Amino acid sequence: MATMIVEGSRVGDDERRAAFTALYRREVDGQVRRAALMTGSAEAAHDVVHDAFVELLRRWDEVRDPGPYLSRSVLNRCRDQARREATARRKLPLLLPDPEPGDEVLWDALQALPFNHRAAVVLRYYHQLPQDEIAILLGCRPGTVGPWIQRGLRTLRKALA
Amino acid sequence: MTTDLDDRLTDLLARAGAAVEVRPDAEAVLAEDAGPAPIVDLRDHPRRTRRRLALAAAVLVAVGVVGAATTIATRDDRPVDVAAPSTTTAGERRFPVLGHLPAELADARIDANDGAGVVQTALGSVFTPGTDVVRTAYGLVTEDGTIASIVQVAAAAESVEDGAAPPPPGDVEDLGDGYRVMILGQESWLYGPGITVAAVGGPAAGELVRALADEHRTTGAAPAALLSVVPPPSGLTLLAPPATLGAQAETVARAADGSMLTVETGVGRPELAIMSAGGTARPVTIGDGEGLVAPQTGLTRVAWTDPSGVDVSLVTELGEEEALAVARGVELVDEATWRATYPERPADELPQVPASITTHPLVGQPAPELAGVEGGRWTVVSLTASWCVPCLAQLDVLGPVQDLLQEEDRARIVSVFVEDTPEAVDALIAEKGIDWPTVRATEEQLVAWGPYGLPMTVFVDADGIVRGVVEGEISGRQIDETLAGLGE
Repeated sequence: MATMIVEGSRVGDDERRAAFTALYRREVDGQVRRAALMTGSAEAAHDVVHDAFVELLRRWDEVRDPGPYLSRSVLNRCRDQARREATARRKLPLLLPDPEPGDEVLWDALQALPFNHRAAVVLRYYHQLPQDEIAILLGCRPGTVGPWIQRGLRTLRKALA
Repeated sequence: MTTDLDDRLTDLLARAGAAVEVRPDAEAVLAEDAGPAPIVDLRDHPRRTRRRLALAAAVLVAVGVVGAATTIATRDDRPVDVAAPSTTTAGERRFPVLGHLPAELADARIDANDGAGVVQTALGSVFTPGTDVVRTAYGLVTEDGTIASIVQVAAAAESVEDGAAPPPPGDVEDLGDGYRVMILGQESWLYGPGITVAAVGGPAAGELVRALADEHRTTGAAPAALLSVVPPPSGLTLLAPPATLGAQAETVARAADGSMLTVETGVGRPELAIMSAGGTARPVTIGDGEGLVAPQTGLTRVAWTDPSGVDVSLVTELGEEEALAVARGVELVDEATWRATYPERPADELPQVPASITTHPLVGQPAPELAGVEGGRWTVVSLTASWCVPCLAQLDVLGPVQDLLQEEDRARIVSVFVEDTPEAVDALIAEKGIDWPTVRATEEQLVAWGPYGLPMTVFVDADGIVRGVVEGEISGRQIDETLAGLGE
């Protein structure tokens, strides 16, 4: 009969919560800002990031690399959020308190992009990440990222024209 | 080149990102903490092990690897008959099982979901000696671990030899009687008399193939128990499943002299890629990393990991030293770069179309009726599905190809979704930015086009006659070359 062993090492509960809290402090700011740009909503971003942290804490002992795991989990949740938004089709308010002329058109066009195009553009222009790192975060092949960004930019240009 | 749009995006995103008011609340997260997940040693949990085996047997029946009725024990030890669950495995149709999930799987659970919604995950792969096909079973797993559907995808297995293949360099364990287990990172391979099994999933996969070797040795039963459930590493996302095993693809690369060539990707780590080479592999240095070079019946194969982490394999008629020199100068390029370079090829060098593309039963027949296939122009029909993992990557390839073909007014692309729901198709169109025609296949169309594996690409000429069929993933370059080679 086949046997399978799930490997892992158990750490003390206090130690686990302390390690988690340290990671939380380090990651929360960047994750919320990125998720806000991805979802177009600071409220949705907080919800998404909260859920991802809860999930990470639950799997703390299984996850070998919590930082990248958290990033992927947040991005996946943003993707789900985008699917729900696509159904609702509501216009997302601009996140900027003092918008400059033209901001709103670009913001709306950005939020209207298909999720993968938008995510690739945000990771490229907000985080200045290289294509291979974007590919890891979005779970696609490195060669796919370039076309996504190009198609995203082309759609934005059309919207601005 | 920096453009106005580049600057505007950088500026807008920086200001919008900075304007977000972040409200950290670690306590709120900790309040939902249910304590550490228990570490389970399945050897102490015979009930759970039985459940997994029951699940594996049911998966086998569902995907048609085992055609006959199989009796298995369920969790409560009640024997049930899980004969082929539906007509979906009848005849030559090897997929799908969507909507025909065996009742015995209704309360099964798979720990393969990171809670981010429905994921598609590889349940296991089986390679049958004497064939050139690896069959991989995928399950659509919902957030609570329920299996929503199962589908089998067949892929060419050029990187897999039968049980007589020599062990590759790597962590090899000889189990005696001709059984060997090779652990290559997340991948575990079992080679034995008459069987080859690949399992993905780290240490659990290694344990699994060892147990399967014992089982095969004592019972001789094959491959009934070989397809088992191996949870993927946690955090795995939908588009990067372990299913890349055997899903070999041609990828465009640029050599040091600026010429374009194709290399293989998706074969796996260098040790795995070199497995089919047969000769003795020699470690070499390529760039900052290590690679392997091995002779291969008149050819040379070089395998290495590119700086971006992509495993690459180059097969060439050149000798070892020359091949190494080429490999050291290879740079993987994206589809956009290829498009910019590729049209420079002289027009008189029309590519040869592989014979396998023109021997499919559909070739030479009028294309079955389908909206979008209208004659007057070549049509590339891409049969696909939202529940098929390789198809998702295929859809990414089609975007740039569609742009190219449309710009040159050469052919149109139609994506045909197979056994899909309107909601799933709409969501995918939105997510992937699909801006070419799509059709949802009716039952009659499904039978007429008869896809045996997804994705499938059908080339239809201007008179509506099928000229070529490619099963499995196809690159943008292959679509372009096949069109040109078929005389479009």
